[in-house]
Parts: sequence; C-alpha cells; structure tokens
Amino acid sequence: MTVLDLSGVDVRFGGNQVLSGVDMQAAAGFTGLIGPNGAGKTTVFNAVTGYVRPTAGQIRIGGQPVPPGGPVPVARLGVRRTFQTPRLVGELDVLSNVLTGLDSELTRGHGLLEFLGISRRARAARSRAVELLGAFGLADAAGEPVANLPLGSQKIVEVARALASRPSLVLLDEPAAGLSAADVDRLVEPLAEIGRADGLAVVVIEHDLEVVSRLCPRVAVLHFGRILTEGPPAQVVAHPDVVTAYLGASVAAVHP
Amino acid sequence: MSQQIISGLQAGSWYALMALAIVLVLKATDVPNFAMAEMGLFPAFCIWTLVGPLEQSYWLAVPAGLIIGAALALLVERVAIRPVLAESHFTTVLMTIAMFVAINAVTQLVWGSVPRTIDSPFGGSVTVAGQVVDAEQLVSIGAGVAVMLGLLVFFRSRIGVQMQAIAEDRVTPRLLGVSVNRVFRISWALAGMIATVAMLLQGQASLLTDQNGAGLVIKGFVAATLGGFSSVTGAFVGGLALGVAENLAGDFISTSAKSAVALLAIVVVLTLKPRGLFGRARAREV
Amino acid sequence: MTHLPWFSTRRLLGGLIAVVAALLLLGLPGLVNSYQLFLACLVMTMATAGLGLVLIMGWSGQIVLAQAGFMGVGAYGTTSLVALGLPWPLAVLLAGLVAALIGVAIGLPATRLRGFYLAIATLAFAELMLRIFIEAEPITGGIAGLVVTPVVLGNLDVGGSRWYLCLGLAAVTALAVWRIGRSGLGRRLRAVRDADVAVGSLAISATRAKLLAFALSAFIGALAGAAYAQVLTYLTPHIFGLTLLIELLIVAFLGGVSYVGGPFLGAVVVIGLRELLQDIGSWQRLAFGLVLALVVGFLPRGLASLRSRIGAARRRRADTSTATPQARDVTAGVAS
Repeated sequence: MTVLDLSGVDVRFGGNQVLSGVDMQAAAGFTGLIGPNGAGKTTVFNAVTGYVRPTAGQIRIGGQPVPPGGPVPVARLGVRRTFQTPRLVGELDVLSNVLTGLDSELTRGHGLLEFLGISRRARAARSRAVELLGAFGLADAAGEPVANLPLGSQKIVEVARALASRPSLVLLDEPAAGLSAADVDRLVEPLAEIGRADGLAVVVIEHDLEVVSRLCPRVAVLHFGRILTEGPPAQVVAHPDVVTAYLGASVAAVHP
Repeated sequence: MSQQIISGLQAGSWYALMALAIVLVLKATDVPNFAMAEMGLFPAFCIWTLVGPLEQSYWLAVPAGLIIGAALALLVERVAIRPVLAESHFTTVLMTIAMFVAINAVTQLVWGSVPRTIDSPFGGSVTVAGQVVDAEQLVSIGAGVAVMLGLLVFFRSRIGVQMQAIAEDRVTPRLLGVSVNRVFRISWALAGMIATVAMLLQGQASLLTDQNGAGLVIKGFVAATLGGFSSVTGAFVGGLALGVAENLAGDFISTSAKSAVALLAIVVVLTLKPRGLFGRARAREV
Repeated sequence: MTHLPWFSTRRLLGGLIAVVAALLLLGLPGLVNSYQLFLACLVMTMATAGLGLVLIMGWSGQIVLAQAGFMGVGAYGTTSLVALGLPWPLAVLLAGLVAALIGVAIGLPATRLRGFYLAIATLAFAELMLRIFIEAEPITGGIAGLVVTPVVLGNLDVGGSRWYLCLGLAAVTALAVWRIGRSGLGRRLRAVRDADVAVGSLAISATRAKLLAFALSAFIGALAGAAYAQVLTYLTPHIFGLTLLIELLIVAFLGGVSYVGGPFLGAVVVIGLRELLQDIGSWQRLAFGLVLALVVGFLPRGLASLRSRIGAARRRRADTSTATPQARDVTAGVAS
C-alpha cells in the first residue's frame, strides 16, 4: 500500500524553481532518494513534512492530503523526520532526547500524570526509548548529555527519536553522512530490523550508495528538481542519465 | 491643540534621537542597547557640572559633553560588549541591562538624586505662523531633524555602507579588508554622542534627573519599534508620532493615559506588525 | 538514569547532608535572631521568583523581563483578596491564576517574537503593570502604599509563620520545577530553545509549550510576590520596578539559569549584597549591575556550571577520545 504519494509537486522560492512536477511514491519498506547536491532532496522532505508549502501538485500521506498549518499537523499524522545536522537538545541526556520523540503523547492530562509520576504512558514511553537505545547499541550512553557524544552517535540518537513513536512514515535526511564504517553498521542493521518489525515506510536521502543498496530495494533519483528515474538500486545506478547527472557528461562517455 | 502638537514634537524629537542612537548601534553591531539613554545621561550631567558649578560657557561644555559621551560609549563597547558580541541577543540584552543599571548607579553616586537645571542660551520664544513657539522647542526639533539628515548622509558614505554590510554578515566584509572593530567603534561613539544630545535637550528643556534615562530608553525603543528598527527615517517619524500621540492623549484623556500610550503602542505594533509601521523585512531573522 | 547502586557511601553522605540541611531550615527560627530570619525569608522569596525564570528563561530560552510585575500581581492580589475576607492560601491561588492569565495574555503575542523584540515587549508590559499599580489606588493604595495583614500559622509568632510560609512555598516550587524539568514539558521547553526547527516535526507545538512556560513562570512569580508581601509587610508600587527586575535576573543567572538550585545561590548573593550595601541604594545598584555583567560576560551558564565544567575537564583528561569537536555544535547550523 502506498503510504506517501507525491504527484506533480512544484516548489518555488521566489524566482527559483526548486522542485518541478515531482512524482514519487513510497510504500512500507525502504525507499532511497538520491541525487547530486542541490537536486532538491531535502526540499522534498520539507514539502512532505509541512516545512515548505508546495506551489503546485499534491502530497498525500496514507491517502490523506497533507494538512495545512506547518509541521505539527503533518507530524500528528504519524510522520517523523531527521535533519542533515542533528537537531538535538545538547543539555539533555541521550534517553531524554529520544523521549522528546514521544512527548507529543504526553500533553493534556497525561502531562499532569507524568508530573505526578503516575503516568502509564510515560512509563511505556521510557521503556520504548530504552529498547530503541539498546537496539542501536547506545544503552550505555543513555545518561550522558547528548552534547558529549560524537557526531555519529548523535545522528543515530536522532534516528532513534524519529522511530520512537512508531510512526507510519519516516524521512531520514542523510543518516549515514559523517558516520564511520562501524557507526554505519550500528545504524543500518537495527534500522532495517525495526523498519521491518514496525511495518514502517522509510524514505532515505543518502549519498553513500552502499548504504542505499543495503537498505532500499527501490531508489528514486532526483536531479534539478525532477525525478530522473526510479527502480532497484543496481539498475538505477547504471542508468545513463543518472551517471551523467552524477559524474558529468565527460566521465559518462568514458564509462558507458 | 497646536501647542500640544508642538510640545509633542519636542518630546518626540528626544524620543527620535534616542531611537536613532539605538538603531545605529543595532544596525552596525546587532546589539539592542538598553543602556543607550544612561550613556547619554552621564555626559549630560557632566555638561551640567561644567555650565553650573564650574561656570563654563555652554558652547564649551556641549562639545566637551559630546566627547565624554563618545568616550563612554567606546569604553562600554570595549569592556562590556565586545566580549559577548558573538553571543545571542539573550546575552547582549542582559549585558546592556547590566550596563544600564551600573551607569545609572554611577550617575547617582556622583550627582545624587537632586533634579538639576541646565542654563541653556535658548531662552524666550518666537512666533512662527501665528503660533508662539519656545526657542527650546525649536532647538529640540531642529536637532532631531539635523541628526536624522546627518545619519541618512552617513549611511550613504563609505563607512556607513560598510557598517550595514557588517551588520548583515560579519565574515565577508572582513575578507574584503573592512576593519570590523573600527566600524563598531565609530557606530558606538556616534550613538553615544546622539544619546548625549537627546538627554541634554530633555534635561535643559525640563529638569535633569537620574531617572530621565529609564524613561527615555523605553520611549526610544518604542519609537525604533514603530519605525521597524532598520530604518533611520522610520525611527525618526516613529519618535515624533509617539511624542505627539502622548501629548494629545495626555491633553484629551488623562495624565495616566499619557504614560500608557508608549507601552500600548509597542504591544500593538509588536503584535500586529512586528517589523514596524515603516519597516522593511530584514533579510536575516532575529 | 544514574548508575549508582541504590546504596553507596556517596548516596548515604548526600542523604545525610540533605537531612541535616532540612533540619537546620526547619529549626531556623530557634537558631537565629528575628532580623536574620527576616533575611532568610527574603532569600526564599527571591529564590522562588527566580525558579519561575529558570522555566522561562533557562529552559524555554525566552527573554522575559516582566517577573517583577508578576510578583506585584501576586503581592497586591493576595493582600487585597485577604482584605476582602478570603483565606490566605485561596487568595494566593487566585492571585496566581490571575498572574498566569496575564502571563498567557502577554505570551500570546510574544510567542511570535524572538530575541530582543520579546525583551522590549515584556519590559513594556512590566512598565504597564507598574503604572497600573500606581493608578489603581482603590486596590493598591497607589503611591501611598498598602499595609499587609500578616498571616499567623497555629500558635507561631508572626516571624515564625512568615518563615514557614516562605520556606514552604520555596520548597514546593523547587520540587515542582524540578519535576517539570525531568518531565515531558521540561524536555519540550528545552527542545523549543535548542532545536526549534525540529520541534514541529515531533508533533510538539512550540506555541503551546511557550505559553505554558509563560503561565507557569507568572504563577510562580505571583506565589513569590505573595510571600514577598508577607516579608515586607508594606507595599508600594516602586518595589516592583526595575531594581527588583535586576535582582531577579541575578538570582536567576548567577547560580546557573538551567539549574533548580541556582536561584537559591543567586538569592543568597543578592540579599547579601543588599545587606552589605544597605545604606546607599546607588552602591547596591552598581554592585548588581557589575555582578550581572560579570555573570553574563564570563559565566553565562552560572556558578553551577563550574562544577560540571571541572568534571568535564577531568573526564577529558582521563579519556581524550570520546567527544569530537562537532559534538559541541548540536544546535548549530540552519535547515537546508
């Protein structure tokens, strides 16, 4: 079933056409979104999550059109995302940062129950967060202020935060950028596992094609704000337009 | 009625001058200076000392006061502001509030809380278009206009253009060989002198007290807010409008309404038009 | 998430210190003279007001300069409601709710403002409240002032009652603020401050969180004001002016504006400075200005951060490989 459906999405900033007629679908499972720098990949995420309003076209999440009013109503549909540079609260410990992903469930009366220390939801949230940290091998760092962690671990914490509320759609913006090979393993294995177990639809922007092919059976290529092609990674990477887009025409001529 | 408007324009000129000093510092160094009025009050008291107890000529005392105003501004910029310049508004607001209190305390320690009168050479009144206007009022309004025009010219000069470039972007102008520190110093010194003029004009038209600064700095910020913080003419017009509105409210409603005008104005403007009545959108979010 | 076992010498020592401190505080009326007790009351009151600033300035990161005004609402509100015949606790609660409502009213436009715009708007509101205290003579007595009816608890004397009121309010507020800090609201507020781009994507409404912070800190300010009225026994509008604001800023920032213990340390210093320089208001104000400047300039995270800074330095020496330089920039950078 299609969880995310973009049809003919245009985004324009002033005179600058960033996305033009983007058509893209994502079902449960992992979908890669690749393309050269400046292709508009993050703008696709921003449009889906309500950070940017498309100038034309339609975005549907779980069959519903994206509600107006910025990121909050979209997130309430069960959409979570990460950012290229992790946006965490440096002063809070790792566990609390993951818990912020679940805090939207603790408003209204539940906030008061949690304040009094008698909220069942808060306890469930905590055990979910602990479980996720365990899965990503960060259990030992749970009490550490997140600012003290290396960048790679911070990015994994942000992914855990995005997964915490068991969303239906997760958008990961370059989760493996800046990660060491060991960190990549620490991220990819549990991510694939959790995605499968929770039946998530995950869209991953990633430059590292190895990470993409490990995670995503399907990949879409964005270039100059348009979808060039999509399909299985091996096939897409071999596509002549993609080679040209990534490497420039001269190199494409040498390596047909 | 027209007398009310003229006194409104007079008070408005002080507000406008204070707003211009605030806008100048904000444009150049991105520091919202809550100590601006105190930085003018101290030199204004120095002028009082020179003219009063020391019996010097007013025309000698005023330039001396301006120099003291510039020097004080340079001192504050160097000692208190530069160390926190890279920080957020959160920090600079707190720092300038601290300076506000400290400078005010020094002023109190030196001159006490007795109201002082400055003998200015602008006595008497003239009749303009059938309306009697105090010379003091003409001087205030004239000084306001002169400083505004001067600043407009200044911002078109080389150093003025550099100043605005630096406010937008601290790195690139430096790469182009612009001395950021020099530009900062010039803007603070100028603002210190303008604040001195504002406090002097208010002090010699009414009374010079240690409380004048607290009142005028809020008015200055209100005027600058009305003007949208980025515009020299906006700040000036905002000051005049505030002064006139206050006087009319005081005349037609009550004295307590007069003091509420500025505060209500700022709340309304910040709520409805946070960029000010005359302000253009700033490229950078604040 | 502490990794200490439930029993350890450190915990035992900490517990012992806490018990001794609690006994000292509870027995204070028998240990010090009435003037010293009065000063201790002031410390507790200022600390309570500062705890409200921890919420709004420390955690949610908003520059709100109206806390002295909220103290005034609490002081005048409680005193006049008691004069109408309401019991003191109910009067405090009502005055607190009024302050919270005013806080939300200020917060509604202010949540759209950032940085110094918010500072100006809240400063203007504080001035407006001061004007209202001066003008609303039937309630506040205007410039002439208002006598506060002292609250007497059981068969304690006035001084003792006052102390337990101030201590109780401070303790309950500290406990509540500490709980909030560890709860979802505390996390949301810090997220609004440090990761404001991300909060929307977590289905967290920044406006709601900010408004809650406004309401809670105003409520706490009013609680402190009610206690302040008991301590001062006589209210005039200018008590709630600029000097009190500066003192509150020092109370909040000296100890460290994110720490629940910070305001207590700050309050001791502020009341100490008041005592040392009591004859000349100007010296007091000069000292307050300089202390605030020093804290802002050199210890933006307060004295409490010294401990963690020393700890971090020690850890760094022990293990140089844990943190990369980038790790410091969690919140830097702009969405692309």
